[in-house]
Amino acid sequence: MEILVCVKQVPDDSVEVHLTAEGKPDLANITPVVNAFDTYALEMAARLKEAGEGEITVLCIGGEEARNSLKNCLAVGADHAYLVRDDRFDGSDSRGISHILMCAAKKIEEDTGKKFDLIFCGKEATDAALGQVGAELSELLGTGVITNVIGVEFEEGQVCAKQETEEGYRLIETASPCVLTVTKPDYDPRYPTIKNKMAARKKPIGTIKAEDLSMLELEKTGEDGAFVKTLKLYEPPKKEAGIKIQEETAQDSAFKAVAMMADAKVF
Amino acid sequence: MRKYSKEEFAMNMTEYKDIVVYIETADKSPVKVGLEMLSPARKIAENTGGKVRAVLIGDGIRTAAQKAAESGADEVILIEDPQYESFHLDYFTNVMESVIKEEKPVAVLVGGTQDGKDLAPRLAARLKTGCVSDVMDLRTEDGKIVYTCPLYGGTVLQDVVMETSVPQIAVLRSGAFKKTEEAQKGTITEKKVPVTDEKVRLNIKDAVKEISEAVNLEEAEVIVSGGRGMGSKDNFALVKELADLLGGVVGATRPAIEDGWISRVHQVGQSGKIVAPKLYIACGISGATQHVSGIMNSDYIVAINKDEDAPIFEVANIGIVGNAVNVLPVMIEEIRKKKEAE
Amino acid sequence: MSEYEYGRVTQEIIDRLNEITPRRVYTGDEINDDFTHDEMSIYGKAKPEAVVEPLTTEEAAAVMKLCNEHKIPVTPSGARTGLVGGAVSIHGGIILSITKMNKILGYDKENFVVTIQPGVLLNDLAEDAEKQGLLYPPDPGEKFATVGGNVATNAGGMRAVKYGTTRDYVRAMTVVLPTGEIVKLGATVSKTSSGYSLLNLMIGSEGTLGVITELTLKLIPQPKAVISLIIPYETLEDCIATVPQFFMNHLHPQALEFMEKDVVMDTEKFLGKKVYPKEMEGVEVGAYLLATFDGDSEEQLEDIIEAASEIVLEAGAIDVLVADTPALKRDAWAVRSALLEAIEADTVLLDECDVVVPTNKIAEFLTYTKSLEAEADFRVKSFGHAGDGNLHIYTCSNDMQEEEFRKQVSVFMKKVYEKATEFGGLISGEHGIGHGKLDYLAESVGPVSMRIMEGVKTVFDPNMILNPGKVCYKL
Repeated sequence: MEILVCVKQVPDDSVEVHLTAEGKPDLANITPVVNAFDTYALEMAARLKEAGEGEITVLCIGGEEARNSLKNCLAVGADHAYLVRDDRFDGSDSRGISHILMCAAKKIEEDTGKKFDLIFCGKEATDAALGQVGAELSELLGTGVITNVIGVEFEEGQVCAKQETEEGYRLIETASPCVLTVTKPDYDPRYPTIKNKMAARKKPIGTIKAEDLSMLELEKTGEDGAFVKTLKLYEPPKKEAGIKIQEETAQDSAFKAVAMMADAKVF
Repeated sequence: MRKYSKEEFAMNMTEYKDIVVYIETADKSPVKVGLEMLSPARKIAENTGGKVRAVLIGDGIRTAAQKAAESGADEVILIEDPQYESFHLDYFTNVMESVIKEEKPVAVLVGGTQDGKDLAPRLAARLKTGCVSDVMDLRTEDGKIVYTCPLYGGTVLQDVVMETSVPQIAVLRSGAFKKTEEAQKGTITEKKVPVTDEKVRLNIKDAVKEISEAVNLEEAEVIVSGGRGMGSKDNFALVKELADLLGGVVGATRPAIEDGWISRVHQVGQSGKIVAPKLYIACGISGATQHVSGIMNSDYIVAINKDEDAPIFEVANIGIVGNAVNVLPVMIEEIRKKKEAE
Repeated sequence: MSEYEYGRVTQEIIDRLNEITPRRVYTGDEINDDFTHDEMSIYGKAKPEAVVEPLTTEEAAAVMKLCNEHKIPVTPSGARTGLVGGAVSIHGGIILSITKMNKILGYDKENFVVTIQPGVLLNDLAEDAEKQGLLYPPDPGEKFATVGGNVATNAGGMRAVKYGTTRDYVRAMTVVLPTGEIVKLGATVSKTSSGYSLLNLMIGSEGTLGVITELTLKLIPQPKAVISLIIPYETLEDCIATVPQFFMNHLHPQALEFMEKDVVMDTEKFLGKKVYPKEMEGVEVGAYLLATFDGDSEEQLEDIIEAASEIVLEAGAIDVLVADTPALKRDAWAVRSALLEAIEADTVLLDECDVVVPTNKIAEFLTYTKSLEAEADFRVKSFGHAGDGNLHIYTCSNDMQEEEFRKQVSVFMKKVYEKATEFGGLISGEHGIGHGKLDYLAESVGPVSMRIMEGVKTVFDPNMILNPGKVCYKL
């Protein structure tokens, strides 16, 4: 079983992002991390691998600084890592990203002579939260996609995944290869052991450039290739704060609040 | 479809001017966001001079189609087949692909439900066109449709356009748009889209409703939510008590859910449900952007938090500084009295 | 019988207070119950006659002056997260709450200092400094304490092992003396040999010598890289035995905490999260070390943790888990930070001690305290700062009668403190003396030290109005 996990590096989502005076996201003091949903995907892949056999490859499109994130992935279950790195890819939208991922996946398959059975993505990234890449990638690869996965089984070319839905779950089957987008399962990503962490330090990270991708249509990528174009970024206007009640006792505060709510006829 | 230059696209706006709105159904009724989308669709149509066409796919959903026709669609395209009784990503993508190729809309609006969020990008890739997600607002400007979407959990907003591809596909956030109040009655056109197994790769073996309670946060008029400030699962019961008293629905923040106080269907916020009730009561919720951005469209917000500097107070109509665990029992008692007096 | 007689807070006093701090004077039912106790209510509750909330040094001084004239006791109060009854007004009078003095006044980035009002919460200062790329190293477990309160108790916290305690970061302060006089102590400079250090006398004086109304604190540049390690051991003894090895090998963790498995499991249940391994490679875990290292670069830090791991594995650790991302670090530390909260949530009767012993005596000391459990009806739970020997030991009961609990605890504490003193330790590492530990302090330091402390107190506070009955002076 060969598994590909696509990961994105994003700013630590526990820190609020604001704009600089120039109107750009101020990310200077925010640690870049692997998108949380991608870490769930990698953990799910690692558990699947441990239950069976095979290898996990992680693939990331990003700048040089994303290598550290890939190293972290190598310490928690990934066997191989590739960084797709080309300035011309900056500003790609979902379809551009999906296209590059598709080309890179094909290239890795060609180079290694292996075929990916499962392609994992996080259900969305915590920065833009679009949730498009998994679905688009599957369409480009001509495979099925199961989204919001919280559990998966794999047997001889057949995948069965548990999809979380709003009121429960669906069990969905499809033939491999297929794309799975992962949401938070009922477990957390593992901590790397020191041994794995140190081993990961020494593992190579492959670099893939635009020229390396035989199927690439460069015009679909980068800012120029994007269908979706950003006009401007801004911060939402602050809603005007209402009345603050702070009486001496909780009881008095509650009385006052209920009286005001009654006046406003909200119940 | 192919990519156009800006000039070509501008020209094409005359060719492509209708708006297709995919209205999802749940239990044979249109979902709330489905009907909400008809008002922004109408706004675009006024600008392009086109028609608003709602598409409903399912089985036994004529009443739902009727409802859509009365809610602002010029035409409802009703596609019924037993095979389409419940959502199936592959079949529904095929159906929408076929409808869009025939109708040639300038924009396709899809509601931001879980299934809608899957359908839109799948369709966009199939049609080789652009797609935006989680649209909170939209407007037309110089003949362009400008969409407002959140970034970084909503601390930053971005205005985006899709000028170089048709149709533009947009996933609209539930609760972000108000339903049209007075709408002209539209027509219903039944349409057969034959079931094809082409590109159908998924087999849905089972769909299980695990959560027996009906939690409809999106349509609730009153929501009482609890956060980590409730302190414990026992205390969280106060939130439910107040919600029951007000005939409302219980909401919760991600930490409260992760602590196992209540099931995840109750989650309100960016990664849960975006809500727009008439009354929202936030108990022991500090007001992380994640959460606040999901409640901003509420008409009236009451917040109870012991930290007087909690950001939740910046959006609340009434902010009570105090421990929710102490404040809630008194509020419950007071509201009960007032209700009984009525 | 006390040689001091106190005045009452009459209507006239209230009127005067209202002139000084308009609409920020509270009496009778207006006084929130929170003002009657701190987080360790076992030391008793007492209601003040009034609570005032000054906004400035001048207002605080005027309040002090008025109270001194009328011999009214004044108890300074922060966020009331103390654990020894230090801010409980046991002799009545007024509580002077500094929580509204909560402004960060400004940074001097060239001198690496920040000036703040004392009511700024530790959490807010830490976050604000981080935004400036700076670190305020003291890191006591209670993040919602005021920094003023931290200074008053010389709070230590997790990073003390590398960076020292609050004392090491106070450069200057403005203090209102019990007489109402205002003095500025210390300066932004890094060295001083200018007479007795009244600044240092004030730090850790628990609001008995003066009311701190402004602080200038030293900051350091934010470390470039930080990694935490979760190190599971089969036994607590193995776990503690490793500690000196770090220092002998020139590895200086920023924090080095130990936790027993039971306490961790209770806390994980409280948080609804599973973070720490309970069994590894077939070995059942008994205790954990949680260590944090910082460094100038990712590479340098990786070398450090590799070296640290070799040492602990050699010394018997089962494995080493690396928290190298913000999310993993948060989860690992969330458990540590919630230990006390989890114990509190689960316990009806609770008392604690905060002894500090030499690090090589920790294991022996804990074995001793655990052995006392056999002769008592309560449970003993402990965790603490392995790196500096500061141990938090809790006696917990859900079914004992309070009186019996107090009786047994007092026997237990006496033995524990005796043992700590015998090992060359002290009775409080960071929580202070308040009035809960006063007798134990007298026994531990002896009559001469107590006499000097009492003498100092009298010089500062001739009328004995400021936080009477605390630390060294029993009325």
